[in-house]
Amino acid sequence: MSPWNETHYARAQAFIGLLADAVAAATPSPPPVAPPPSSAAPAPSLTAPPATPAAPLTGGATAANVFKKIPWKK
Amino acid sequence: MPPPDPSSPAAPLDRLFDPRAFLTDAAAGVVTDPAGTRVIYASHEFTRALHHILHQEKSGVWRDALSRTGRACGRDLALGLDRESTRLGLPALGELPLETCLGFLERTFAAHGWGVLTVDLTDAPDHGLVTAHLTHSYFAEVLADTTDFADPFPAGLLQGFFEFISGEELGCVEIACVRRGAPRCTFVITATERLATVAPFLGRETAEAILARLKA
Repeated sequence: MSPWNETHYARAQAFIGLLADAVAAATPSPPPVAPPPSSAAPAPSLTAPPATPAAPLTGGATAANVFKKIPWKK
Repeated sequence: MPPPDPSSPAAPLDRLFDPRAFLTDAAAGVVTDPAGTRVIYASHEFTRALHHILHQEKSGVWRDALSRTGRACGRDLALGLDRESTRLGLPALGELPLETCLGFLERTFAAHGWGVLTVDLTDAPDHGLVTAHLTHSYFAEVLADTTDFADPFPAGLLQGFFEFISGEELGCVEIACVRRGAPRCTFVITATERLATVAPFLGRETAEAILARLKA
């Protein structure tokens, strides 16, 4: 690779990084954890046929509870 | 427009996934998605050209840029669903039943034309792995002249979405792709450091073999 290309590629990658950072910056930061459930009403079912669940992880559990229990780092 | 099905009560958030809810104001030259966000239609040529330019600039730039952009969009998607649900007086996204939450993700993929997504939690409880399969992938179809993994954007989108729901910093990689001869595109989501251990085998081993390494 020529020195010109090295410089050009580095600048292109820097540009892409800036672009991605700008997209990320334009996205409001979500809270680290979901807020507690509303006590006003039980969670209604919002979808028609639900996704195929994995039996050990379902049983009416909320999405946040399920995903917080997953041993990601094992 | 077909009449509503009386046996299937209208769900408050269904309009977000209804392709008929995209509005076109031809006089103003404005198209908005069901959430009210202005959008444009990207042609195959646009996507191919962007891929070509970034790939020519430097190998890996396309993957990096699309993955990072997808991650931001995935978090934005989850946040948007969360806000809309709360606005309607419904539980926050993470407090919805698991099936409902994953259903939103899968319907979003389909509604935006990214393909048919299926999330599989079979290996989640014991191995800390979430897998997702994508058929009819937009990128795999459009980037017909590449033999590389074609879906860094959906991978980033899954990463961002599951980071929001779990509150954890996660990674997501595509471990099988139609463009590389697989019958469907497959992604795995888990801790970033675990994904790094299988990076040398991506594209060299099947999805099943890579998952076996992660489970070992």
